[in-house]
Amino acid sequence: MERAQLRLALEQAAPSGYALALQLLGSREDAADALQDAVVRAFGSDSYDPAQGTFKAWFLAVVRNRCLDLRRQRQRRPQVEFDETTFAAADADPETLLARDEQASLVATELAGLPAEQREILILREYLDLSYAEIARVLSVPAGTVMSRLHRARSALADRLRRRDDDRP
Amino acid sequence: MTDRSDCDEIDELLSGHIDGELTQGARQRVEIHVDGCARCAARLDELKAVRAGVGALPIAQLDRETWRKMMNDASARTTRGIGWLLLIGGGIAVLGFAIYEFLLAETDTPLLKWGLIAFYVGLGVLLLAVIRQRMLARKTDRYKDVEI
Repeated sequence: MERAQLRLALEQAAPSGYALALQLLGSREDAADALQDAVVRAFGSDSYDPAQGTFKAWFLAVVRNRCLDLRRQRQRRPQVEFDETTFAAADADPETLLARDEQASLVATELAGLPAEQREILILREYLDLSYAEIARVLSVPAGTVMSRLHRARSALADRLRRRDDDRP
Repeated sequence: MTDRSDCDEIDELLSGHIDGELTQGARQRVEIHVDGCARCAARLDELKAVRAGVGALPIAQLDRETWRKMMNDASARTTRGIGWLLLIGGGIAVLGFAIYEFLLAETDTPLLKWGLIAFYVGLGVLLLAVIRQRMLARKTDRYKDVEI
């Protein structure tokens, strides 16, 4: 891949890489470190092979591996961060914003309570909109296992959200 | 009325159905089942709500300035890496050749020759010891990230 092409591809894949890293590491600083390492790797290595899938999936796999290394090194429990400013920028009336805010923090809290394996597959599919083939590439698992793993993760989150709803007065 | 075991079989396919990842046959099977089963229809809605909920999460974004710095730094690090590689490679080649020539050279003063060898080996050992010490200190320096 030529350098200009690589820069463009990285520019497009970086926000997804950051979102995944943030979910896996739980801190902006660590996520930026992981992303930086992945970018250096993308510049320095030629291991991306277009025959094996999209650049985005390859890059996310690199980011994920770096995150797992960092997590092992730092042995820190992830905590999900929220950027309040993204709500403020949303185009909606205050009441809708408040309701969305509440729902989003509920989903985020319950998502954070899931095991990392379930959390990451949900982010890859629901938030980053990757296909099953791309998810299989990022997680280095056979394509056939993606649907069942994703379904377990969705069911687990649905159970948690249902329990929270039941607990409400 | 639908059979409970049908529901269990269909359940996992619901995710594939939401994501449009089923074969035509499996998709039709799910659609026919869900049309006649209120429980599975509710379950499908619940899973769709999970997808929408996670998809709408306000995850913090990477700001432009950080990204710009990251790209420049990555580019500089890669260029520096190539530079160091060439420098070290060239240095090793020249040094190797010089040592080879030095060892093979005929001399009338072998004492001076072996004295010089000992001198340079000693210098090398001292240099390595200092580098090792500096690296160990760097690892344990609590203030290394403090900017002055």
